[in-house]
Amino acid sequence: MSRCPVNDLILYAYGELEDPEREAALFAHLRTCKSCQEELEFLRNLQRGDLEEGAKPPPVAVPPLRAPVHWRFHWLRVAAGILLFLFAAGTTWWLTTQRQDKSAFDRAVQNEILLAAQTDSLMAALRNLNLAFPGLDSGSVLADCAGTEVLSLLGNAERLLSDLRDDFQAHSGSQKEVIFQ
Amino acid sequence: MNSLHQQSDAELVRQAKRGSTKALDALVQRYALPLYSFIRALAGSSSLANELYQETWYRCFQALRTRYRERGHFRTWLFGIAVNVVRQSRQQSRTLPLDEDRFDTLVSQEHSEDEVVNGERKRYLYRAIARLPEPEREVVLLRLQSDLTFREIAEVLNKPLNTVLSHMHRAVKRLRSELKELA
Repeated sequence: MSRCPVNDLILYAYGELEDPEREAALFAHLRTCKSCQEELEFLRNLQRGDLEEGAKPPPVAVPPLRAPVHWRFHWLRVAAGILLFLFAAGTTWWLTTQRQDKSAFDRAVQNEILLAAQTDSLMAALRNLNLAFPGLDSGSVLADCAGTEVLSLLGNAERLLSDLRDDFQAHSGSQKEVIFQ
Repeated sequence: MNSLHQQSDAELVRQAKRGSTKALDALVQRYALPLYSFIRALAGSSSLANELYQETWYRCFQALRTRYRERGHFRTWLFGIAVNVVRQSRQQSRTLPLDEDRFDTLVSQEHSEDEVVNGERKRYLYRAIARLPEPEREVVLLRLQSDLTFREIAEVLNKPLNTVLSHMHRAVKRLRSELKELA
């Protein structure tokens, strides 16, 4: 006698045996196996209704899993808008400030050079610059100018402008406040 | 538009995750009875079953809120949570008492002779199932109480299908032996 196909028997009893060939083999086995016939009958009697008891489940409090999606997106959009506005405003302010710093400084230097050209007194112009910008370390610039009397005022003026710019940029943090006071 | 009760589990889960309490409530209503019956049969006492039933839904809601991904079926996932909740409870308390009184009450409420005989059969069957080893009892209850297919049971218990069927076969042999007297 062949070994009983118990797994297929159980699947068949509950309508879950989907392979026609295995089903046919099971039928062939059932014709000759009394034990499997009895087990099939028992399984068919052992149906779901046997255990139903009418017990009433207790109520369950159902919480919202999260805020509805459109509200979430709404707040995300608002937050993104605020961040974008702050970024744009900050960038505009910074660029404007930089331009103001540079143009104010250039104008001040040009005025002093013009004054020096008019008075033939570059040293006086430097002293005036130093007075106008008290935090500016223009000592080295002044020393250079003192040792270059042979240079013409106009030739020296360009170098002076460059030195002052470098010096200004190196101390721009402290100079900005002084310049715009 | 389909009403919530006609929609698939997957669709209800999607709506619930988007914030619909009505969809979540429809899921709870759909599985309340089979889930509670399963837990009650496994847990033994009614008071413990109520507690474990609430705990199962609580964990379900927590997981839906955070880590649930639609890989399998919702109902096998839900019953998997229930099995874990009951097993953990059993590990903590070591023993779960068998509440046989509830079937005595059931029998006393029935009136006709056939109903009494049927009630007697249910009581014997329940007691026989309650004496089954844990793996066999889980399979029998998931099949008979919760109406899961054997493939779904394999998914719930994270076992191969043949192992599940072997548990069922052994359980049937024991139950046949236990119920022989009644027959």
